[in-house]
Amino acid sequence: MKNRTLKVEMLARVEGEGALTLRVRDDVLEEVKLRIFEPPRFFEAFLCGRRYDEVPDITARICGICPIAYQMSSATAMENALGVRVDGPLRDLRRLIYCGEWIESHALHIHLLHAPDFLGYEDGIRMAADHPMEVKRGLRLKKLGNAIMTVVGGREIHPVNIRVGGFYALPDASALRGLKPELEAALPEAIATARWVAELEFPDFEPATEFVAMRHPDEYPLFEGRLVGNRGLDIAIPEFETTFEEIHEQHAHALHSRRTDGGCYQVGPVARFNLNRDRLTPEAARLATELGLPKEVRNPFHSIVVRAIETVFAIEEALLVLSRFEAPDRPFVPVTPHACEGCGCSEAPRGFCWHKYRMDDSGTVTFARIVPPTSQNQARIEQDLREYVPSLLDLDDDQLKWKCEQAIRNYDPCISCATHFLDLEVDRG
Amino acid sequence: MRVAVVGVGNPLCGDDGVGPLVAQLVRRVCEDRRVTIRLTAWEPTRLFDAIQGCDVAVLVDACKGGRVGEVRVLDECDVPTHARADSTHGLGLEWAIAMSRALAVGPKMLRIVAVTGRRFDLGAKMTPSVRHGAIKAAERVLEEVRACLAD
Repeated sequence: MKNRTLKVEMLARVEGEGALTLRVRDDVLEEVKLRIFEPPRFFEAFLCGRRYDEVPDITARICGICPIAYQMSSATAMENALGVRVDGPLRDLRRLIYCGEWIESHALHIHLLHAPDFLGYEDGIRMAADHPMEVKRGLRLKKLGNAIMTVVGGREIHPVNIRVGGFYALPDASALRGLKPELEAALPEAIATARWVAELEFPDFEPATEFVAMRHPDEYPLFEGRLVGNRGLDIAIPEFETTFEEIHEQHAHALHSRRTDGGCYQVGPVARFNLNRDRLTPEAARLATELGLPKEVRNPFHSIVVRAIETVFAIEEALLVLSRFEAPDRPFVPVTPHACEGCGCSEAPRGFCWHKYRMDDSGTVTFARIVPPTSQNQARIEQDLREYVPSLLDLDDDQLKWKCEQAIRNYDPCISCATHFLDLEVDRG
Repeated sequence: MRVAVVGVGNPLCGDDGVGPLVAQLVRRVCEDRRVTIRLTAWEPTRLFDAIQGCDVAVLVDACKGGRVGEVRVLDECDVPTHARADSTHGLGLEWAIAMSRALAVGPKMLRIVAVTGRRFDLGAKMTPSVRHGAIKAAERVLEEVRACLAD
């Protein structure tokens, strides 16, 4: 078994089409390639020539599970460019719908996609037979997230209510009130989920990682703030493009993001938690302490616990928004197009999503750039595998494939978003 | 006796919209309170919810294979039992059925009324023969529902 090639031809329980190739020579891991063959989707190209107010609805189509991230990043980019400020109850509604997206995305990933890895099941359906209570709980949480998306956004997938300047229509008041008892019932369920996943067995693996996430002066970040890191990074959103670069690797249709000095970095729940733990809502903060999470979570396999804590946060935050919400006079702030350019950023469930647009006098888009979270995490995922796999080379190909896929799922990658990704190949010679 | 009729599919994707169309046709003529009629696109947990706790579920969906517009009634055993979940987003009909079975919350009996389609692209129009097949499919759904309620 000195030389081998392990190929995962189609990575399961991730979104989109990708593969992994490991090449081993003389029991040394020589090459790791996360091959993303999902075709490029050219969103940035076909946004050019469209009106600025079409962009949130077009970019929402990039992803079925995190459309709000694309809508909010694009809407805030437009608003920053046009000098429009959305605050008060409209801003609260945006936080509410973003909480819905976090709840439904995290609940799906924790219960159906990642937990089976830790418990030794091929998938969520096989796990459900032995762990029905936990799976039912996960499905209820996902349903709650979907309900929030529907009430505020019009529908759970590709919501249609977010526009530049606010919303097209205010949500029905009684439907909003109806969310409160559901959220109150969900809070103990989300806490139970966090306690359940904290009891899982985690590999002993703590790579040295640069974490990057948004940070807001007062709140756990959703769509406002600066970009900060655990190694001193602290920049305004527009400075992303001079601090980070995207490069094309031959084996991936998705661009790899790196620091301009060449280093890879991690975005997503673990990065957000490490850099914003002091901004968590009370029960989420108390739970993080109860579960013994270290000051800086370095083990990427702990991401499942962090997602569960963020789910608790999202439920508390949604309740907070509902407790103070008073319907505004109108659903949006008026917007007048003019020649301008601006950047926007928001924290998708799997990491921050950065957008930049330029418009002409008529409000027609002349330049668009979108940097999704999975493309930012690709280099970090490959680096994790380079550091994690050498200790696993005694495993047979099936076992090794399982471990690699589990490690990749730490990042809940969304390949379709990034192509703008899995199948494992291990070459042992 | 509680019967759920669920039209599955995306009306924006050509012939994939035949499931919701059939459910709408059935809704026009079926007023029995024991019957709930729902439409769902491809959000899998919504379909899972729709078939939970009922005695009989009749799913209407587009399918591939056979003559375009052809209507077939399938049993649960005709659906693959191993639901692959290669995508976090596209869990699908097989997933919803398999998960409801694993959690023992599914219907006692499940029928699938399938209409063979040809065009499933986003923005495509429904093929005329599929639209015609929808009427036949609605009649088959009503036959299935009446037979269940008569038992």
